Amino acid sequence: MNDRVNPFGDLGDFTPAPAKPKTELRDVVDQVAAANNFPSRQPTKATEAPATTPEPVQQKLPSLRKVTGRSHQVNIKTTFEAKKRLMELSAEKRMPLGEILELALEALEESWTKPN
Amino acid sequence: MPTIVFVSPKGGAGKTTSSLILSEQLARSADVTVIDADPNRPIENWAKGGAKPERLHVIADADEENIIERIEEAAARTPFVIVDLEGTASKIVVMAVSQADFVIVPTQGSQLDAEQAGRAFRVIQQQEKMVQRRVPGYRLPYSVLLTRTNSAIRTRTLAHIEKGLVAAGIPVFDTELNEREAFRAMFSFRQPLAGLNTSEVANLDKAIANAEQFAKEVIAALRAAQQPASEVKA
Repeated sequence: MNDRVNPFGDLGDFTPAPAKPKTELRDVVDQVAAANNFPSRQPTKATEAPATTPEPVQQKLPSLRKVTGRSHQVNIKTTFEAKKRLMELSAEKRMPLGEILELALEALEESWTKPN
Repeated sequence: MPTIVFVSPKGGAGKTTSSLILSEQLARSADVTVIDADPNRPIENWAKGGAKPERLHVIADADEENIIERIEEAAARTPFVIVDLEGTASKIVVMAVSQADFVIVPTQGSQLDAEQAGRAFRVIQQQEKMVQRRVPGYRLPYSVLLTRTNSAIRTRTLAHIEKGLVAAGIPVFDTELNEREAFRAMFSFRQPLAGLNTSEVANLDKAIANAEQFAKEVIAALRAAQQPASEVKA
């Protein structure tokens, strides 16, 4: 069916056109689109990663707290007297309980290693 | 030179079918670029069938951001540019209309279609009016194309709609695109009308005659639209 006679004759009077100056009229497009409710339906491109709001830097308050590395807790059942002795020692030497425990263990181990 | 834009804010009015029919007919005699600005890319898919006429070029990457540039580039390359748009009331439609030399508004014979076509007329008329303020003598001709009409029976609704259009001074093509199996088969076989097989598609000759008549009327309308401009130049 490709050999049919072309019914349109010569269309040589239609030629490619140079760029039209209509591009300057883009504001008209905006106005006409708005007036007739022809809104933009172009999906907005996610070109930029959603603006990551920087984490608010937490201000450090001044503190006398010592960094001791002692972060594990031991619950020990003992007698009132033993506990009293420990607390008094801590208060007297101004030494945290954890430090007393470490020193006590050291001393104990040392005493065991020392020959009688 | 002519950029022909098919506009209808309603889907299913026959934009893609009629724009492909016109493009394919024109491509028998001239180079034609079709800008497939429908996000479903129906004409690009049709062209993938491999039977696209040599003089028919398809551009399918047009969107709201680049449609004006795409039309300008195509108009500088080929004598005919045909723009098929998505059936929605969106800004890209107004952008394409701003670049048009002729607008075709395909409309089925239903009240729903006619109402939506009315929105297209308002956009075209307002565009023309606003550009005229800056470019005296600017004209944006347009015409309604009645689509999917029955070649044998004229429904009362269609007659009523046509009467209303004529009364409102809206130009209507004498040629209607009839409801034809061949116009659907173009897409299912991904073939131009002339590439379809008469044994598979009923009334192919009538569909081709219909398409040719439509294309002839469009060419005549384009020549008529060019006339005043060339007279002014002379």
